[in-house]
Amino acid sequence: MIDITSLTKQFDKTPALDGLELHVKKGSIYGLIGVNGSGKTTALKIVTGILRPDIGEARMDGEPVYDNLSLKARMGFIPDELFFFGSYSLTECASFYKRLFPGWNAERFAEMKERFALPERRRVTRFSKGMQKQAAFMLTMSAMPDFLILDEPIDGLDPLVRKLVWKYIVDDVAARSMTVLVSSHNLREMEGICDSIGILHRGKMLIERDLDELKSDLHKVQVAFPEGSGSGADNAAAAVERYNGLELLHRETRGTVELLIIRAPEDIVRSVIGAQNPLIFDLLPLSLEEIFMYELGGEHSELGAIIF
Amino acid sequence: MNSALSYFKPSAALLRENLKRFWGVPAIGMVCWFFAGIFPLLADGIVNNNWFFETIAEMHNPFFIFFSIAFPFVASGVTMRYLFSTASSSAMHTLPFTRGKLFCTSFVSSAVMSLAPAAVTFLVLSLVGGGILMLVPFALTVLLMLFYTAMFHIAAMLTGNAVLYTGVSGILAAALSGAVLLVGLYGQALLYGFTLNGVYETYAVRFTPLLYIALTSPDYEPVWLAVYILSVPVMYAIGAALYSRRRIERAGDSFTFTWFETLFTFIITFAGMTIMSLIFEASELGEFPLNLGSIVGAALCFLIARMVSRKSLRVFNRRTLVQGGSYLCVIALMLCTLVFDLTGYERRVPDARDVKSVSIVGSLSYHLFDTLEIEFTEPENIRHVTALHKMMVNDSRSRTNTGIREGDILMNFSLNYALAGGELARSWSDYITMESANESLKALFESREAKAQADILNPDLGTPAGITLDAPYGMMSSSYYGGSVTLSSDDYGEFLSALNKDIQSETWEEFISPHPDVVNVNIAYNVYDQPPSMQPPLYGQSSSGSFYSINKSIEIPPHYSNTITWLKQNGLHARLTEWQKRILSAELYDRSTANNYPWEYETLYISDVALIQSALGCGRNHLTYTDYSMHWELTVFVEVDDKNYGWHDQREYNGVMVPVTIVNISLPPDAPILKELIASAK
Repeated sequence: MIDITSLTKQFDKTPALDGLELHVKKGSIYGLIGVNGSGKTTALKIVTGILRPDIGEARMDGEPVYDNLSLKARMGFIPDELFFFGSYSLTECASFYKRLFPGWNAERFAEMKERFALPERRRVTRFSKGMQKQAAFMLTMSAMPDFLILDEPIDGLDPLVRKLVWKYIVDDVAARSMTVLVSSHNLREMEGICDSIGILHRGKMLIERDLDELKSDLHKVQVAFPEGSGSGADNAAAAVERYNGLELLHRETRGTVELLIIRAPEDIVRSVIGAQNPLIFDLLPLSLEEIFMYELGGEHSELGAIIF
Repeated sequence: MNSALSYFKPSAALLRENLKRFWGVPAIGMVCWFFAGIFPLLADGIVNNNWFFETIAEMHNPFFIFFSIAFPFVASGVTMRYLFSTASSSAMHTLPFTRGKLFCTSFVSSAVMSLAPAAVTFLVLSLVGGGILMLVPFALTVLLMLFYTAMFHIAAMLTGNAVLYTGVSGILAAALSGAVLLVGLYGQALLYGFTLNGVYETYAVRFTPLLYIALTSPDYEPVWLAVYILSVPVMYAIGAALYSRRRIERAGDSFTFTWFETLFTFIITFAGMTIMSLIFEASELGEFPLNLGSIVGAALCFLIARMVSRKSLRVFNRRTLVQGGSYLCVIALMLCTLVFDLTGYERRVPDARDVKSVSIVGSLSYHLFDTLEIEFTEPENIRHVTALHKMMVNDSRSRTNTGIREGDILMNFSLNYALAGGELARSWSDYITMESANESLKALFESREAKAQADILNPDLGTPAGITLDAPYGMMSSSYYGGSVTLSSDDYGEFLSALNKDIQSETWEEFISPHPDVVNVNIAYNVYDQPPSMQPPLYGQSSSGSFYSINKSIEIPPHYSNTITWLKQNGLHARLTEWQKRILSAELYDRSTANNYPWEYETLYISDVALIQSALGCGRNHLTYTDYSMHWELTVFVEVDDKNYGWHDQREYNGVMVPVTIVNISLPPDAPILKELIASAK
């Protein structure tokens, strides 16, 4: 479990985080979304104990993170900007990590070495950016961390490697209840991976939600009614009456077809709309982007600029 | 608690990695130590290298001293380098290390990398002949290296990049000594009586252990070595405390603490202000410390320091204005304190009852007591010294511009007091009137302590080994007329007793009375208790053992009746004054009639030899009268025998060129002989 409470951090009087609250459940994957400069990296550096907050605190399993040796031994962090000892090969890095991390898993490392197929004896600093990211991932994952913090983890990785990376993460979450906090500026990347999402904007948490909970209450509906039944763009007043009992977040008409975004439990949606005898009535899948856009007030919200 | 303990527990894993990654530092160190410490032995042969070992033992090998600071600087820099970039500092602080562990590991790594080559070198040196003699220099090298490793770790904590780390390391290494010197510069310029001698000079060296160990070897004071040893954990604690407060996000910035940014700006501005002011003073463009240079230097260095601190040329903002204003206030306060002596420094004269002893050092001591330093411990004499001190404070002529009068003499001297609660020193370069009314000087001159100091029979001086008598008057070498006398050792006892009697009975009034000197005496003493480090030719060997020589030169004035009587009784007086019979003529001119140049003087020619001989006794004594411009100069020409003694000036007498030497006598304008000389002039 990772908890951030009332976190405030300024750099030379420029606020980077402003009262940030963030909560990651044990054994879950939490996606921290935000545009460049929103404070994601700062938040992660505080979570990993690199930076000290001005106000507030970051805790893992209830313990403060800052300068906490036992927590650091259980934590893995892959920053966006990587660093390796200048002359070290992957093998040398691994032997260093082996001495540092009590949970080091040599078998895991050997297996990952085969899967990622990186040169063992070449200096890691001579690797390409993508290869360095893979190397960092191999080292971190072989340390078998209980907490994995990733800053823009798949930038520079090809699709096959991305898939492999996520597989390892998801497997460890499932097998060891590893807690993952991952930042990204792209919401689409997080879809299908994260259990929870937090959207950071100008140092504040705009919204923090459990995705299952979000998806179960928000529905995208495509519906059409027989002619003369009052459907269409010109009959908004009739629509309010027709969908009475549903929270209509968005309504769009395309000819005789209406596209609706509704917040309500699925069975209620089905019973209210079904009672109107629609010609077409489809429940369409909702993308993560749409969920957050409508959750926060519709497509004209400034969120659009944040998450796409 | 665990976090605090981690400051004393290095990480074995990281220590190993540091030594593996930075192996180049000890490797280069080994090469340097080898060429400075072992190679000379191989080149010269190990036998008969006692001198080399002694040089090392006394910490006089400049390379060893340099390595003692250079390698800690390099080693601390490379191990702390990760703090200078965002990526590396983030990576290191993510790994399972506390800050305490990182700091401790870095310190231990740096110390090991610096010390290992030194340890190997000293081990080899001790095995090939240095033996146990190498133990002390090795211990001192370890102390220096640990001291500077701790200091440079502080520099690394304060700075965010390698360039500033270098600069701040230099500032820290020289900070305390530099501060003492700066205080000295401003004190000397603005405080009457301020001195860098004594306590200040002492601290300037002691505040930099490298200087202290290199310059004062082998006479180290245990208390200062203890201070250096204690400084290591203190500086380590400061470095560790700074690390715990360091903001990692400031990696790459110039400085990691805002307060140090301000301090750095002030230090650079103050240094720039001082240096430019001194340069302008040297160029005669105003007096230190306030001149155009100080303003230009301060403004320029302030802006440069701000730009360096902010890593930007855009420093013209409110914060710069506030910082500049603060600097001006601090400097104004400092200058006001010094100029108006708000601390009462100038007027402070210690109560004689609080003084355990006092030394007079400098020209005053030299002129009055024939020694550069004389110490008084008797309460009565201490009281007279404090009275002299009061006189200097209350009668400070150069400051009150009361003018210089006849009888004044410019004295550069210090009073160094040993007080019950410490030390106090004052120094002046000012005029003192040598007058009989000066009760303090009279009392000190005639005091038992001063006379004991002047006792030429004191066994502590050594064994008289040679006494030569010569004519006075500087250029007038006795060699020219064969008048130099070397006494037989049988005569030493009688002669020295007579001379000592005169010295002991000489009164203040006799001492300051205008008189010429009659004879110069040079006494050589052999001292058989020579310091072991002295090398030939400063000491020699005799049947009594090895010795070194000291010389004492004494001018015999006319009132040394016992000495002159002895010279006459032994037929030496006539011989020593025989040169006066060889006077040929003289020239006289009045300095006050011309500005600066001798060729502007109107010269009078005097051929009355008897009159010239009378004038010889009218010159002043060795206490130099200051107002030479009002004096008349009598240039006396004395015939010499150039067949034996080489080249000389030639003057024509009766159509014949005669080799001559010259004696110059300065006659005050009120000297009665002057009128007779002018009257007899052709």
